[in-house]
Order: sequence, then C-alpha cells, then structure tokens
Amino acid sequence: MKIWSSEHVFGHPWDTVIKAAMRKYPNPMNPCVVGVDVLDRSLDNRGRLHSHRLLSTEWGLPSIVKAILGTSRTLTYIEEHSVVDPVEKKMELCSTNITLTNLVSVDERLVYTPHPENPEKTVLTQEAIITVKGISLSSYLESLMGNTISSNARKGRDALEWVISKLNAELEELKSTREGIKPAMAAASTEK
Amino acid sequence: MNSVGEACTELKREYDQCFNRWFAEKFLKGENDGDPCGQLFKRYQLCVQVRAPRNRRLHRLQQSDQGEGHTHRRAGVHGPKQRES
Repeated sequence: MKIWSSEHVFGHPWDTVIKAAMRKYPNPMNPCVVGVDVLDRSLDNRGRLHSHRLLSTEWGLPSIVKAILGTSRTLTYIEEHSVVDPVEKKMELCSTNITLTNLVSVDERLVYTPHPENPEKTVLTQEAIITVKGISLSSYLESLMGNTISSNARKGRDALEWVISKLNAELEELKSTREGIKPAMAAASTEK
Repeated sequence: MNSVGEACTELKREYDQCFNRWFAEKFLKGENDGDPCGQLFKRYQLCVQVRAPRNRRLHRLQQSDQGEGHTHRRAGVHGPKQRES
C-alpha cells in the first residue's frame, strides 16, 4: 500500500476554484477523461450539495505496469462523491476506481478550503492510497503509480487554472456583449 | 464533456448548463431554494440508465441511488420538497 499526499495553494478565492472544480472536464491537461455522468445529486438538510458522478477514463498506467498486470484494457471507470458546503466553504471530493479492482485500488480524497490567512486564496489538500493486489513487485508498482498520481495531480491543478481562465474569459465576453447591446437598444428605442 | 452513454450527451449538456448556472449564481451565494433543473435531470438520467455501458458494478451504482432512503432533499429529481428517511 502506498500513501501519497500533497498540499497546494491556488491564487484564487474559494468560490472561483469550486466553480472551476465542478466544470473541470473537458480540459487539455486531462485528455484521458472521456466521459462524465451525474448519477445522483441532492441537498441535505444542512444545505450541502452531494454529487455522485461516474468518470470514464484512460487509467494512464505506465506501459510496464500494463505489461506486468497483463491487461490491455485502457478504459476504466471511476466513482466520485463530492460534498460542497457553501456556508463552511468546504468542498470534499472522494474517488475510487470501480474497474480493474481485482488488480489495483486507487482511492483519492481532495479537500478545498479558503486559505486560513488570505481569503483571496484557496488551499487544496490531496491524498491517495494505492494498493496493487495479488502479485509480487507490488510495492515497486505502487511506487510507479504514486509517480503517475503525482504527475496527474499537477495536471489536475493546471486544469483548474485553465478552467478558471476560461470562465473569466466567458464572463468578460458576456459583459462586453451586454455593453454592446445597451447603446443599440437605446438607439432603437429613440427611433420609434 | 461527453456522457458515458454517448447518445445522452446532448441531454447532459442541457442539464449541465442549467446546473452550472444555478450552482454559481444561487447555491454558492447562499440562495438555496432548491435546484430548478429537476426535469432536465430526470430526462438525462433516464437516458443514462438505458444507454450507459454494461458493467455489473456500474449497474449496481446506477440502481443504488434510486432505492436509497435519503434524508436529503433531492435536487434535480424531486425538487425542494423534504423527504424523511
């Protein structure tokens, strides 16, 4: 079993990061996520939003791992539960693979909270537990996968930055469209 | 982002647009009067249940949320009405 964890600070307020997190896919940093579906969504009596999602993805195993595990399957499914608390400003996301479970388990947990000293920043704490089952060299493979997860985590953070920029650009475009419409409408009404 | 059941992508897109707007403009701002996307979610869900790839555990996942007794108010499915478990 291998445990990997990291902490990262985004230079954006919590609301901005969470909006991006909910719209993370598709993005150019994670081309391997090829499908996302919402299985269920509900509000609890504390006003928190629970989402249960299914992601289909290319696992991203190093080819040596695929060769040792003896699998040529590349499409895997990941189950994801998230809880967003808009009052406490906390988003917790847990995911686990539901295919290839006889070979490997990857359980990840991500928590997004405002930075305790700066509300314009957001802290992401991320951890993963990796277990390769039933074969020798498991600790070596787990180590390899830990490196893959570390690199994927970096891509995931870059992906959020990309989504945030895209959302800001959409907002700017919307604003300038509205600014453009106002004088046109004023001109139209004076012509009547 | 595509749906896992490819034929459901358009229904998913319509639901996502509704949800993303509510999430950003209402939910995160503390205006919580329930998710207005119920009908869209229902249509999208019906499609996924029929079309998504067959996988035992996947199938159990899809079914499990239908039967569970939630104390949650189901957003996007039953609207804002409180359900007691």
